[in-house]
Amino acid sequence: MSLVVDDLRCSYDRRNPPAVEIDLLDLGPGVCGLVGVNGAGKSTLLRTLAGSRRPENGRVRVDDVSLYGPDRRRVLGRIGYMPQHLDLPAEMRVSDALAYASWVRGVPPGAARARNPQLLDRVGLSRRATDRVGQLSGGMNRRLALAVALVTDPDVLLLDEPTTGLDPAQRVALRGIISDLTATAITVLSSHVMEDVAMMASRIAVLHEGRVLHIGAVDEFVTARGGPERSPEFAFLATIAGGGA
Amino acid sequence: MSVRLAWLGGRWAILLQFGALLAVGVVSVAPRVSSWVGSWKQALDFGAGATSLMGPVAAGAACLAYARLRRSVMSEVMMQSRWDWWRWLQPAVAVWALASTALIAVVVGCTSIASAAGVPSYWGSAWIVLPALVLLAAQASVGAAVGFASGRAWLAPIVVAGVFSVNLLASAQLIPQVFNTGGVTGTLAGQVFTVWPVLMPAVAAAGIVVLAVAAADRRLLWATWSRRCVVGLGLGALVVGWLSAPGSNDERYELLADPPQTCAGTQPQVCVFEETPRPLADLTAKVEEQAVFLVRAGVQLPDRFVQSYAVAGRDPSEGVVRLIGHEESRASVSEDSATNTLVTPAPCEQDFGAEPPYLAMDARHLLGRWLQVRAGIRKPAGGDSDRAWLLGEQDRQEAWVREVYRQLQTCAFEEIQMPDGVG
Repeated sequence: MSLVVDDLRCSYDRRNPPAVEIDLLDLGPGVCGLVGVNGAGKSTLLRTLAGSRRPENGRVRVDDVSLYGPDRRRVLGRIGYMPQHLDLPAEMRVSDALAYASWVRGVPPGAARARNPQLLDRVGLSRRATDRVGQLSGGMNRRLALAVALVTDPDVLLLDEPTTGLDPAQRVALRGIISDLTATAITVLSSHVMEDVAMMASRIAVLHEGRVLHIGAVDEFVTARGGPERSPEFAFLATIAGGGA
Repeated sequence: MSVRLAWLGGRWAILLQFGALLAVGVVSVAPRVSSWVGSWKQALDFGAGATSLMGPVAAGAACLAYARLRRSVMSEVMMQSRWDWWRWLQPAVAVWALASTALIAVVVGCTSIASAAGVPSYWGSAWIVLPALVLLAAQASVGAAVGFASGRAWLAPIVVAGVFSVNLLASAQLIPQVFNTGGVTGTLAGQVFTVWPVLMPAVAAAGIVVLAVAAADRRLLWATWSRRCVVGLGLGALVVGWLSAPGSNDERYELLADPPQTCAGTQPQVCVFEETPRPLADLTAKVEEQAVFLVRAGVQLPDRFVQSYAVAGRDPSEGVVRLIGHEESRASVSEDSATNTLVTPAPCEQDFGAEPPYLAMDARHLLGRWLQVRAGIRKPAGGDSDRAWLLGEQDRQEAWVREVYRQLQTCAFEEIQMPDGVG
């Protein structure tokens, strides 16, 4: 299983520098934390990796199949994407919301009916299946968004700031759920919370102004750049201050 | 709740939207019920024309739904679908389905009321509802595009006003009749819908749907060459439909050469268009009542009075049915309609010429007053210029009536002479 980006350029406005500009990035296998300050290009890169945003240049390949090429349909279903602020209709019941997401992603109704209760169980929402989405707490909403990302039983899971806005208890709970998703071959997790990345990811990619400054094992990253305290935050700040290497 | 109705709100919100669509549809047809109730085709046309109010409401509903969708970020997940454009379009399709159901309910309601009033059905004309449905799709898609591109629900009322104002521009004939799907004030009796002037707005509307979707989110229809071709086709459809759309509402209909009639009575026989039979019984009764006085005066009446829009092809020995205002649609007619019918004993070219036949008009007017005075329908008032003649010697009146009736019957308008002291 591989997820490779090459010669990628994503721009919103031709007059400004590209939001993402990456020569080569191999994101698999395992869990890779994508870190960067706000506006570094994390969400744009994740949307591009998800197949939601066609890049202005370059390719995204899933097992050597181009995500924006003629065989796009072969790999789309293998990617699950949890956007940063997924806001499903408040009046929908949780189970209906998941059924809707399954329909959106093209999961056959029979398969969705069989699978969705298990999904709700995995994210800890089985007892809230008949509740309205609007009744869920912030943490539950994030878990529902995670379930939405999992409806196709993806090989590649892309999580955009999954713990943002959650209290510490909810953050720990969600981390646990994500860590238990062992069936996924590749997980890319964007965050500006270094602690999340250090806890959940085995590899880290530092993105700054659209460019990858560093990619490697989290332990090595923290050891080499984290200073005497071996602080992930310090390692990150040192990396963007030094411009990579 | 069905996933197909996602983004339209909860059950009550959906019911409210449907109710609003139905209500504005009823509002657009109800005030003119006395006009269209007597003609199935007019009822159909009026119902289809309810898009003028229902379309803006559908656009507003779509704007609300897509503003929610935009803010929800769910469109990012939709773009991961094999059928991304269809998933994206689903809320608009749902709004369109609601609006279409409401429109069809209005059309069925109008035509059912007309049928219940005793007019025959013309299901062959029902195809004109299809362009109306396509226009609803265009209006909803415009609302969807604005809602999604902006993500602002508060724009919905502005979208409603904007889409409605386009209808006003068409009504004022400042733009082609692209957004006009009906609402004619005539009965359409003896007329048929013309195919291309009615269909062309639908072609333009289909183009608007495509372009609105393309404008709403570039990812949908600009991603591949095949989809760009669809955008090109949409643009072509809009241009062709716009340029070919009728410049005025009248181009949507054309006269039949010989519309079928339905007749009643014997002295004389009265015939009206088969499509608008409601006034026949009352008109026949009133014509027969008034005709007695003409016969007593020695007038030779035509055997039949027939309804017609044109002179060409008409039998010159038949009189002309002349109904006032919307009486073609009503079950009861005025005495004036019966009188006007009796004083038009022949179809004359002069009545349709560039210059109105003033002398014949004056003669018919006096003849009609004479007839109504004789029948006891009216009495001459003190200040009437013809009062002295109407109350004068009966033999002289009847001699003039016989003579002028013969002249009207032979279209010899130039021979008409008004009585001394009148006219």
